Amino acid sequence: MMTRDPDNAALRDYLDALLQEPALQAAGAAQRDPQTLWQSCRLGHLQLLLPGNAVGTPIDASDDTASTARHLAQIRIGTEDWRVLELARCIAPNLAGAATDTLLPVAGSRWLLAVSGRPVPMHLPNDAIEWRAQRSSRPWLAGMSRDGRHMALDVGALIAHVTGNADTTQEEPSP
Amino acid sequence: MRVWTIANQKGGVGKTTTVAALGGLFAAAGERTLLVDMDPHASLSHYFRLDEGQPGLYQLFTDDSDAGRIAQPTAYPNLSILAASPALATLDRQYGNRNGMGRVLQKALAAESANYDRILLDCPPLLGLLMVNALAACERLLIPTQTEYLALRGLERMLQTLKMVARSSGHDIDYHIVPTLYDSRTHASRSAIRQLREAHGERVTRNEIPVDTQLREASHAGVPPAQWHASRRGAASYQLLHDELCACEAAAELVA
Repeated sequence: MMTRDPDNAALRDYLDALLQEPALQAAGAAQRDPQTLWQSCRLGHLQLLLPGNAVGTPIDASDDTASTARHLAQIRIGTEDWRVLELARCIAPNLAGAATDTLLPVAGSRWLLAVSGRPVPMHLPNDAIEWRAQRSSRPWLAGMSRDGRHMALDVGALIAHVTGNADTTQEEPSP
Repeated sequence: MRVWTIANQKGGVGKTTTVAALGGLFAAAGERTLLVDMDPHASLSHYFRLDEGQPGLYQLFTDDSDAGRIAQPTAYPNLSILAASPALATLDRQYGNRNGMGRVLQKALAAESANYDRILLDCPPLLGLLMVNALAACERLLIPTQTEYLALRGLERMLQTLKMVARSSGHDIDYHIVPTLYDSRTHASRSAIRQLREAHGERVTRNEIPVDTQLREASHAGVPPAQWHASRRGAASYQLLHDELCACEAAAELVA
C-alpha cells in the first residue's frame, strides 16, 4: 500500500496554497462569468486585456489603409473620421513600430485602437483581476490578472492620458 | 523582459556574486537591468552601497508599491536594484498562510515589462515565501553550486524543490547548474565537478567559476566583478558564463 510522505505532503500543501491562482477561462468554457468579457491582445511579450464593453467589433486593417494608419493619425471609415491610437506607443514605447493589422473602435468615441493580431475574447471570473487601488503612475493600468500574465487596461483612462499628453490640437474628433 | 532567478538552498555558494557579476555584464551590454535582493541579509544591497532607509522589496509585498518606482539606481548605467531589508524575514509569518501570496512578485514584475530588459532575482538560501515568489516569477533558474561534497547534497534538495514548485505553479523552469568556487588544485573540487557532470550532464554549464580572491575585493569595493580589473580569472569566467547562458536562452527561444 502506498503511504504519503508527511514531510513532502506538508510542503506540497504549502506550495499549492502559495501558488494558487484562479483559472483563466476562454470564452465558451463551461463555468464562464458572463459579466466579465475581455478582448485579449498580444503586444510583444505582453498580454493586454481590454474590457469587452469598452471596444467594438475588431476591424481587419491588414490592407493599405491600415498600413498607413499611424499613432494619432486621422482616417476615414465610410463617412466618418476616426483617430488612431497605437496601443504599443502608449503601453510600451519600446515595442512600438511593429505592424498593426487590427483596429478596435472605442465605444462612444471616434477613437480606434491599433493592435497587432486579432483580439481573442476571454471570460475571467470576477476575482481573477487584482485591481490597483492607486493609479498615480500608469493610470491606464487598471489591474493585473492574479496569474501575473495579463494587464487589464482602462480604455477611458488610456485615452484621457494620451489626449492629456498629446498636442492640444489633437483632440478627440467630434462624434 | 527576461527574468532569471539565482537560487540554492545552501548558503555561501556564490549566489550574490553571480547576480552582481551577471547584472553588471547585462547592464554593460546595454540591457536595462533590475537586480532584486530577496535575502533579508541584504548582501546585494550592501554590495552596491544602497541607501538603507529607502523603500524596497518589503514595500512591494506590504504596500503594493510599483517595483519600478522603488528601485534604486546604482553607480552603473542601466543597473538598478530593488533593495532588501531585515523586515523581509517577517513576510512568511505575515503572509505565509495566505493563498496566492507566492505570485506577488510575478505580478509586480509583469507590470514592469516595458521598463526592463533583464531582471535577476537573488534568493535567500531558504525555502519560504521569498524563494517561492522568485521561482514563480522566473523563466530560467541558475543554481550556483560549490564544487564540494556537501554542496552537491544541497543541490539535490534544490532540484526537488524546483520540481515541487513547478508542479504547484503549473509551469516548468529551465535551469542551469553553475559550478562555483572551483579550485582545480584540489582533488575534492575536481571530483565534485566530475560527479556534477556525470549526474546532471548538459544542465551543468561548461564554464565554471574559479576561486578568485579578487571577487571578494570587488565586493569590498562595490564594483561588479567583470568591471573589477584585478579579477582576471573570475571576471573572465563570468563573461564566458554570461555568453554561454545567453546562447542557451537564444537557442531555447528559437525552438519555443
